[in-house]
Amino acid sequence: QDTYTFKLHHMLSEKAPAHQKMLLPWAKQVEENSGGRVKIEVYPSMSLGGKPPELIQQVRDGVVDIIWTVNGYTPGLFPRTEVFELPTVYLNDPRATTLAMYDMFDMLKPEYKGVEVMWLHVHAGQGIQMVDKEVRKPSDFNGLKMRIPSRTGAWVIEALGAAPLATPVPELPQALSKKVVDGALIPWEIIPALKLQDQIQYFIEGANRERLGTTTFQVSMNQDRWSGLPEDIQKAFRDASGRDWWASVGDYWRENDDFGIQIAEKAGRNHVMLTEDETKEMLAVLDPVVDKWIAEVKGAGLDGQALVDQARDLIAKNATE
Amino acid sequence: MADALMIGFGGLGLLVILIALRMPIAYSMILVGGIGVTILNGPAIFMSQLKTLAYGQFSIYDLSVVPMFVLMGNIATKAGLSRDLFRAANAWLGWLPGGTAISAIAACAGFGSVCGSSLATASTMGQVALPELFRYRYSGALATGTLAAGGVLGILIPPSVVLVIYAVIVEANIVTMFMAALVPGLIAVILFILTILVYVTVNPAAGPKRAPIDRAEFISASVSVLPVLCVFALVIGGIYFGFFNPTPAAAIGVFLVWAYGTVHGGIRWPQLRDALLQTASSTGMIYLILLGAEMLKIFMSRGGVPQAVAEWMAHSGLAPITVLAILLAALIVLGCLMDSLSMILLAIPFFWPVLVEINGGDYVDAATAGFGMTTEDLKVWFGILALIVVELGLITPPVGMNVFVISAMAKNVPMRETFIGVMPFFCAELVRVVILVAFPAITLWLPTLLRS
Amino acid sequence: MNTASVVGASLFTLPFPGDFELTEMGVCVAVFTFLPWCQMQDENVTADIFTSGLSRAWVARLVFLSAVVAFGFTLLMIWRMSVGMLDQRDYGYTTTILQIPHWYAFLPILVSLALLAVAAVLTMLDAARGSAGYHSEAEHPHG
Ligand code: NA
Ligand code: NA
Repeated sequence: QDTYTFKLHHMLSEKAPAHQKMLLPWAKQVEENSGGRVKIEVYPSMSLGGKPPELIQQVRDGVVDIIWTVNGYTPGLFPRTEVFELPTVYLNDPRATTLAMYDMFDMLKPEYKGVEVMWLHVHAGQGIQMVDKEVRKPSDFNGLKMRIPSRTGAWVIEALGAAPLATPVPELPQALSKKVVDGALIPWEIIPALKLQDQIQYFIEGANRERLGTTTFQVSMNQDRWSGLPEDIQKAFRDASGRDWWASVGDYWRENDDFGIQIAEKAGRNHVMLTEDETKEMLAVLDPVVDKWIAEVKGAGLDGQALVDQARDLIAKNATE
Repeated sequence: MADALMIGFGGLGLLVILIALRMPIAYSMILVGGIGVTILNGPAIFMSQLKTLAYGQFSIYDLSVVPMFVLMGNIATKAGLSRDLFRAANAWLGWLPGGTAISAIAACAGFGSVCGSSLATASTMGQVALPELFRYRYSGALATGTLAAGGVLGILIPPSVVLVIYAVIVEANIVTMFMAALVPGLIAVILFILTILVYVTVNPAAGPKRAPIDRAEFISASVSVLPVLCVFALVIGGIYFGFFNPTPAAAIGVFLVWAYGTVHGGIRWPQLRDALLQTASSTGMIYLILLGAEMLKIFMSRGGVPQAVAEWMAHSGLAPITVLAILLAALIVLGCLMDSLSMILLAIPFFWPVLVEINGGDYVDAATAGFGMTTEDLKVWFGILALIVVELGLITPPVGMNVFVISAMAKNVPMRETFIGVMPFFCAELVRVVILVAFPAITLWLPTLLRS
Repeated sequence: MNTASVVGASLFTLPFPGDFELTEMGVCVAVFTFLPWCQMQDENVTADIFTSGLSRAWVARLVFLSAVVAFGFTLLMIWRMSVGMLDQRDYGYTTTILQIPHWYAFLPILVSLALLAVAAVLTMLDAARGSAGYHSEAEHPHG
């Protein structure tokens, strides 16, 4: 019987939790499902070459078979999926949001040209991490410089009245310690890797853990490679990447985020949760970000409002499930 | 898998042959990388990757500081900085036994603080200091040996192009690496000065004494060096204290050195044009090696070579410190054949995973780590140690580029004598490596201090 | 540009969010324009110890060989990066903040690569003359 070897390429280190707890277990599950006929070699740290934004091109060209990447690295390529990154659309639930992506996948599918999506997911959301200023309302952001997480993240920072600054993630601890930026919008998940508890005094989120948007990710296989696989091998992949798997990926990102904030709390930092009113006020100024996005994707011929409504509906539905 | 590994190691053999046949190192890596990936996985993968690989590699933000520092160094070599530095150093240290040689070392250190290249430092300071050393009847061995060794300070004292490349490969913070290099760099200066003192004590004829200079010259010489101090304070200080990112800081440095040279009279359009053209060709050379190294890395990863080496070393049962010694010794040996940049690009992708594995992974606690420090600290510490040993290649036979450059300037001194003259400094460097290995805190102290 | 941005960012809090990607793109395009000059200056590092004993004519033959490799690789790059440019355009890849299409940068890069091919041919001609025993103008010993 034929055996099939796949190269899975991504940008994080092999010791990163996403590699250890998300990608490896999935690869193992597929291998088991196939009765040992599939072998997935996972290559971390861009070890098969190139820069992270090239990952999507690499999988489309078949340079590698499977990738895990951040959609935002190639802005404009995944406009439909981007709806889940918007503040006030994504609030506080990575599991419900990831499941909403699953349920809405038929609407998103057209933009995944040349690849077969295994799964999509989000992280637990952009938290407000501040060096030494406790910000509780939009006016507190006046005159501050904040690190941009993504394209739409830059709009969030502008809407809050702060100045967006692009800082590569490895430079972030330095930029924070020297106050080149006053804070950053990133998930708690990143705290242990960058030791942000050494730089950050205030870790801020909403009353019900609301965040200011999130980032979307994909794990995808080269389309031709996928189409050339026999049905039983495809099934091995499908069975490992079903709705349950998407849900547990959402759970995984929640857990990882919680672990990050525990580290910060243990170091004596302030984990601030805004009051209900403060949260409402903060989110209210972000409505224009959604409008701006709707206007922009109109240029690409998309009905942004419909995507927003649909995403909000499905997230709400999955949250109560 | 075993086949892939064999092809991988075979590729390394082919690489050595091509380099020995005088194929440029960049093209040797490109050829081996391309052929290797094609043999392992067919031509389509390599062909697809070529579409954007060079574009991606040449547009890495952290590398944008490289052309800036190269340009700053090239303008500095023409701006008359070296003359002022040597004059000031002489005013302060010239009265010591072997004082003119000691001044040359101090001036090299000063020049190294604005120039990221060893060869440029050796040749620029050589032009200024060699005639003086011969005027005071220093022995050929000491005079040329001092400058060949002093040139190395161009790389050891930040800014340093090789250190930038190292930082990009292991994903370290450039600023942290620059901070870490400073104290070890000063230790090198002190050890070099001690070496000269010992040398002239043993052999007083090699470095005759000289009368101290008068007060007026002392003051005027000291004042003349202030601009260099200002540039260093602004560029490196600005980076350390977080006022600037390295790339803009280097851009400011280029401007300041150019302004200094213009006011000072050393820089007119022909000099500026030469500096720009030299920067263009050096930058092209550096980036082409980077591209080659990336292609070679892709081939090696696909062949499983770095993974196998890391696995094998980690399970060899050797003590962490032994492994470190082996890796550093390997770099010294490689240094006999290759320039430091190619060496860093070639060796670090193999060596770094080994050290991470032995240390216990990326997120290991210092208490349980193989080297007794976090992997982030290990990155910094090993980077400085690697930098020192790859630079030793510049002063060891058979290649020893610094020795070539200096002996080309001192026509009356046979190259053999220069190699002999540089030996005491080589030993001083080994002493320094031992000190830094024994006391990692020396390297890690400044980054830790400035981080908090 | 860069200087303006950092001075703005740190002193007057007027950041310039697109500066990273402009720097990346600018340096990338610039480096490609440097490559032909680098080839003409014979600046690419070689290890000369094994061949230092060879005659001039033999060294010229080895230089010829490396120029052939440079030429071949450059042609390959011109072909592949042209395809790459079309890909970038068709998929609509842009920079993150300023949304500049990446394929714009490929145009000057392809011109530079064409010049690099010419430079490699000139090196070949020069080395061919050298290997036939003529004095070589392009000889810049490294060391
Ligand atoms: Na330097
Ligand atoms: Na050497």
